Amino acid sequence: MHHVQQMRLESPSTDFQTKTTTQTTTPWSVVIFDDPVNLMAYVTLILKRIFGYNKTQAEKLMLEVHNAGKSIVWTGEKEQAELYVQQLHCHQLKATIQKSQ
Amino acid sequence: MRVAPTLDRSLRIDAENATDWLILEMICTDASQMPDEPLADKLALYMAADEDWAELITPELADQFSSQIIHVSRSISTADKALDLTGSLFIKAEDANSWFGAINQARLSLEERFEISRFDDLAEEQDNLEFEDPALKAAIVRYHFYTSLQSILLEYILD
Repeated sequence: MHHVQQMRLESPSTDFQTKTTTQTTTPWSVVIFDDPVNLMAYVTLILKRIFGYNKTQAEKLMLEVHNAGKSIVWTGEKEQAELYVQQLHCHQLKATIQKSQ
Repeated sequence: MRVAPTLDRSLRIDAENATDWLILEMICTDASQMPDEPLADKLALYMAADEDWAELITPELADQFSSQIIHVSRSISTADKALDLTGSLFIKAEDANSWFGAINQARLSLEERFEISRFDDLAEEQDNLEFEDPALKAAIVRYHFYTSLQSILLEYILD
């Protein structure tokens, strides 16, 4: 924090760069929501296909979606998160992205 | 109707009469009757914060979902049928995703129109339940048939 304040005084452009860096490195999460239609085995299969999870990981996340109503299934860069959501929508799963806490 | 996996990782559906073909065609009818708005638009609501999503991604998804329904419809209409309307339909491994997607759209549509999931706890007793609304009863029967078809696709072809 102190370091950023000092840079602001020195140069506005440096300040801009600092902010940009902070924004691009903010992790984003892919969230899948439960629905009454998609089969549990299908959700597990899609998690394996899209994210490359093994059966145990995929089943754990699928059960989290099923029991809690939603689950964070991946965290990383925003662009990749958007691509994953697009793929999940292709498979008719309800999904979104959110800034990681 | 009989549904069974084959040795070459396909699914064979034997239709025995006109009713069986009608039930299969109902996959496309149900999938096409998504209430309120198309599925791609419904999914886009989950990405409403992204200004470009509806413009760039949604049309592509809508095309994909339509293609799945068209693919299944063509497969059913072009399947070999005898004069007595017995015949077989094969779902090959490369077609399985389209079939699964179209059937899923049909189930999503039925769920939205009839809230089928409210009868989940009664699934085992459904044969004995009496529904005042014949459309609801028919929807429940189709929904469970579609679910069975999806389960077989998942177990023997997709996974």
